[in-house]
Amino acid sequence: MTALDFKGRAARAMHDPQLSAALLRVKSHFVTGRNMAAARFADFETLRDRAAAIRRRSIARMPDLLERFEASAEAAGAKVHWAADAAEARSIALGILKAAGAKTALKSKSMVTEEIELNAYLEAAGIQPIETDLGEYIVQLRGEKPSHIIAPAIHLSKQDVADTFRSHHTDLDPERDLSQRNTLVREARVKLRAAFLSADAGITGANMLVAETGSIVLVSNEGNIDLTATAPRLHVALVGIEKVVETWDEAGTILRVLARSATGQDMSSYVTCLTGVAGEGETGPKESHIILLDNGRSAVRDTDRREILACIRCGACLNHCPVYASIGGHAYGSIYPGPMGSVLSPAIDGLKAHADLPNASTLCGRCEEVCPVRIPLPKLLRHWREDGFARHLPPRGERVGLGLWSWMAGRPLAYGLSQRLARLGLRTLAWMQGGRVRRLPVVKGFTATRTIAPPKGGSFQARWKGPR
Amino acid sequence: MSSRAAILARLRAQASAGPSAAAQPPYRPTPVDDLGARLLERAKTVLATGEAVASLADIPAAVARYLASHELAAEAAVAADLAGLSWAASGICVLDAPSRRSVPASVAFAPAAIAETGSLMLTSREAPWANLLADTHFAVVRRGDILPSLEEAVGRIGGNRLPRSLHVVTGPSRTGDIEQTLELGAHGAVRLHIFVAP
Repeated sequence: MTALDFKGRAARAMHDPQLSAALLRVKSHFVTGRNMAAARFADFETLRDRAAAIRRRSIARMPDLLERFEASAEAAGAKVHWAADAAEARSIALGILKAAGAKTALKSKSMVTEEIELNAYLEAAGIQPIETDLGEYIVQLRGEKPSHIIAPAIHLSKQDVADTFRSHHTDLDPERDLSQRNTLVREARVKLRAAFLSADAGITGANMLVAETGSIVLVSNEGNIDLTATAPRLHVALVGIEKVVETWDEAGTILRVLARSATGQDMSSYVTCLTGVAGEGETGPKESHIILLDNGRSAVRDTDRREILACIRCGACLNHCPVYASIGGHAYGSIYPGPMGSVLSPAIDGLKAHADLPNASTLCGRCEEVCPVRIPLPKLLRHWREDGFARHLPPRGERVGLGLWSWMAGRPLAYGLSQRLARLGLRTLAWMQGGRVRRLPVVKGFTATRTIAPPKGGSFQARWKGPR
Repeated sequence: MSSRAAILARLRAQASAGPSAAAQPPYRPTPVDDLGARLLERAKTVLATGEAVASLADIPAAVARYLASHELAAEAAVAADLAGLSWAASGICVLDAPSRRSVPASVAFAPAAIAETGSLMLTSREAPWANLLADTHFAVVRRGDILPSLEEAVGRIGGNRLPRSLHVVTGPSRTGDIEQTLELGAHGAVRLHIFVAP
């Protein structure tokens, strides 16, 4: 997926009626659910304040907490690896799987493994990754990428899923009835159950690393993570270095805001906590590896965008974003879509690869209003815009226009004159076009879907000075 | 320089990485008188069911009633520490449950439960397999093992050393991945029934 033609992809997405119908469900399900869950909790705003403070404290103390996590995890029998970038993380993971002779690897939903494009790499090396989250399983069968960080198949209808299953599950009766959602869920359950009981390795991400005990914490609703991380003889977790917190008390508070903000649940159906390896008489793998991934995270910590590292990947900013609601996840051209993605993706891949993303926002501020850890996403997007402008990334026309505006806005006489000319121009156009401005020259797109009333009276400045 | 050393050195060199916010006081739910009642009440909100029993001896008959009312076969895998109950007398066929096999129903103790969220805590010490793979999961929890919060349950189970895995299970398995519409029984239990025992 290339990130270079964001505008084209966005335009296509906005004219896709099926996608629009799917995106309406984001609003009716996730947004309503989150609001109800927040209202049920006695003092959700205070809980958010605490979660925000916990994440910022964790980022400030990151090196100490990571070292403590490593020591605790290794004392419990896990092996901790450090990867500077995606290539190193992939090669460490492959090395572990090869050394254990693994041919198949279950996978739970993990944004970090999407970020480093692990599946394609493993397949090329002869290891079959099997996505076990239903949404991820569906998009894997279709050869697509997830379009939402917690609801990967949100862009698809149940008919799409039925068609996908019919064309891939060729051992089943082609005439079977797949018109009901629960039949589709049941079919995936049976298909994947066989994989759970036979795969050589399990690969997961992590929602948190708990430094005091060296544990990793994961959440799911399907129960697939519990099986992925405990059924095979080998477990590999890939985790961004920003996911660390110090204590279980801190982890508990994050879990309370996470599920409420993500799906509107008070608690995710399954919270899976993994510490070290299985001891004598315990169920679970005897070999466990945790790969800590940097991939741009430590660099962004040294900038005024460091608060994006507080993100707990709940998806609330996507769900509440009017731009995401119009174009869906794929149009962003990054595995992390929506407001958090538009801040994080340039930090991971470089601003040049995602120059349009900081502008893929109206800065309306709803994302910041609902962010459980109070990340000031509009402010961080503006920082990227400033960076982009300073590096001459926007197209020439846009830069010249902004330059002109900036020159004029600093000179009251020129500004006043330009406003007078604009008023005159709009009135003339309205007179010519039958009372309202229906077609603007140069910026034709602006009047493609709206008309403008001619300006009445003097300028705002004149009215402000005059009798009020 | 190894990636470990490089990453840690870069992080340590960032004096500007923001002031460390103060440690937050741990969150604890408002205390309730009856943790068992709270657990069952919360479990119902996540589409589990449950009941309090006067003694463990009442469980086989209750399991039989539940299975009959759901038109399910009168059979279940039973954990070793509950195998001594009079299952046959209640008409329940006790299934042999090899550790890596799906079973239609399973009955086992949950070593801890969380009243705040109506959750059970299973661990790798008791081989949680049957419960994660069963269509119908009957969990038995003793009143004394019900803790107010997740944090307290982790503390209770952890002691000196945490088990390799803790599974905090809140209601039956579910997914909203097809058209954002809730369906139960994605990978874990389709039905979850909790017994609160003395």
